[in-house]
Amino acid sequence: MIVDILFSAGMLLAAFLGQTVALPALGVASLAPNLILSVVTCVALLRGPYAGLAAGALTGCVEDVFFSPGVGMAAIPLAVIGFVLGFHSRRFRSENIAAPPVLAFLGHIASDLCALALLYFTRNQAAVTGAVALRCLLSAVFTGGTALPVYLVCFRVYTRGKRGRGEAHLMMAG
Amino acid sequence: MRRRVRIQPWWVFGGVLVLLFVALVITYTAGEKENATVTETVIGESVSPVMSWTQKATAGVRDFFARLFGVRDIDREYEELKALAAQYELESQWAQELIRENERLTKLLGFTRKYPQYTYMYASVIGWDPSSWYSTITIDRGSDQGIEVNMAVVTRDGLLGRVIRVYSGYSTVLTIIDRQSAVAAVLERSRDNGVLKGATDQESGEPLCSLYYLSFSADLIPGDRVLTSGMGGYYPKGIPLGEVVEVSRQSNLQSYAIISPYVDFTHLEEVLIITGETEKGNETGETAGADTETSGGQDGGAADDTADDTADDTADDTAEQEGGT
Repeated sequence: MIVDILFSAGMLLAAFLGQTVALPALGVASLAPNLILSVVTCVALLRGPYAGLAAGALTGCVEDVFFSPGVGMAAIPLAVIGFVLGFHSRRFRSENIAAPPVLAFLGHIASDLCALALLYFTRNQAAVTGAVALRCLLSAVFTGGTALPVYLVCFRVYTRGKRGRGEAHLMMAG
Repeated sequence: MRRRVRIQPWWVFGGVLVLLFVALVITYTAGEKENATVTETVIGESVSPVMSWTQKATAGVRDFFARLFGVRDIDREYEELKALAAQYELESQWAQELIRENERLTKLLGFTRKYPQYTYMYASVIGWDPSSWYSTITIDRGSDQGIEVNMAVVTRDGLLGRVIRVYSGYSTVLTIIDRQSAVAAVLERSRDNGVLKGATDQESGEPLCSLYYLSFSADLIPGDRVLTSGMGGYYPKGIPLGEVVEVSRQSNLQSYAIISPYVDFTHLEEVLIITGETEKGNETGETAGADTETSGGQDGGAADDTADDTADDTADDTAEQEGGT
């Protein structure tokens, strides 16, 4: 359990650093996957609603401390996505590797819509151009693409020492 | 019987959401604040070093890949910069050459201002006679430009020689260091007359001139300036020729001197051809001559200054010999 928590925290920290430091330094920040969302999605699907909620809320808070005008602007969407995906994780078999990319893609879209709504209500700035929409869509596709390898890594770690992969899902649901 | 309350996930979710919303409202409505909260400080202080380290590592990776994938671009830029450097080098050399040419022409212009009584034509030296050690040169002005035989040619330093052959587009100049050259000369200080002939230093091979037909009692010392006397008609009067280096008294009641010419014959590029005299120059010359006659010759020409018989003989010889062959 502790190892899982530490692993999840490490993954989230790596995603946070990759998202906020590495990708901008590499010059691909404007069209980059949301690594944090990918990790939160995978943690939620594999570890359940509480883990998803905690991962989303805590990582979002850290992100907000550094980059947002108010704590919660990134944390609320991530927490919602993490909890909802974790809550409904029983609907998906853990061997179904198509689910994480699709759900991460949808989560990215939802996150962007949420951010748009927050901007609209807080600053009355919600001008969405075609280019912005296309960029968000492509980023969502990339997010879905990165969710698959993240999911496989997390799955391998979370199901270590277990018989059969299906047991991990049972453990998560509990 | 105690009833066990089971915590529903949605309650937890709602609680967290409410907390986050409250936090958002509080932090957002607080606006700009000078000091961070304790929570913000703890999070910032603990994460920012990791972010800094990650940024440095990422920058290193980025630079590595940039160099890896940018080799072709670097090669191309290197070639372009090399070509650009070569072009700038050429332009720099050209500019330096222009500066040097400008300096030379400025000095030539200074000569024309110093002797405004003559009219000049600029010419470039386009050839040196290799067989006779620069004793004749070729210039890029000829009969098409109005050049005539026996016109005097000068540089910024003094007399170079005279035109001996004229072609349509170029001319040949016999320099004063040629053995066949003879120039009527006068010592600037003592006004003693002589004939300057070309010579070459036996030891060093440097171009020198000899001043012949000086009287035994001629007053000359090393360092005296030698000018053209104007006798003979080929060379205008008063143009610097050279400087006395050595004086020799001969037993036949004559003296001669070794003269170092002012003109640097090894670095000839631009010359001036004296094509005539200006009207002002003519008037000045006539006035000067009249003054000379009346004043006894202190400022006059060399012929007027040669009072003794030897000098008169010399002047006669000079008139015959000036110009050489």
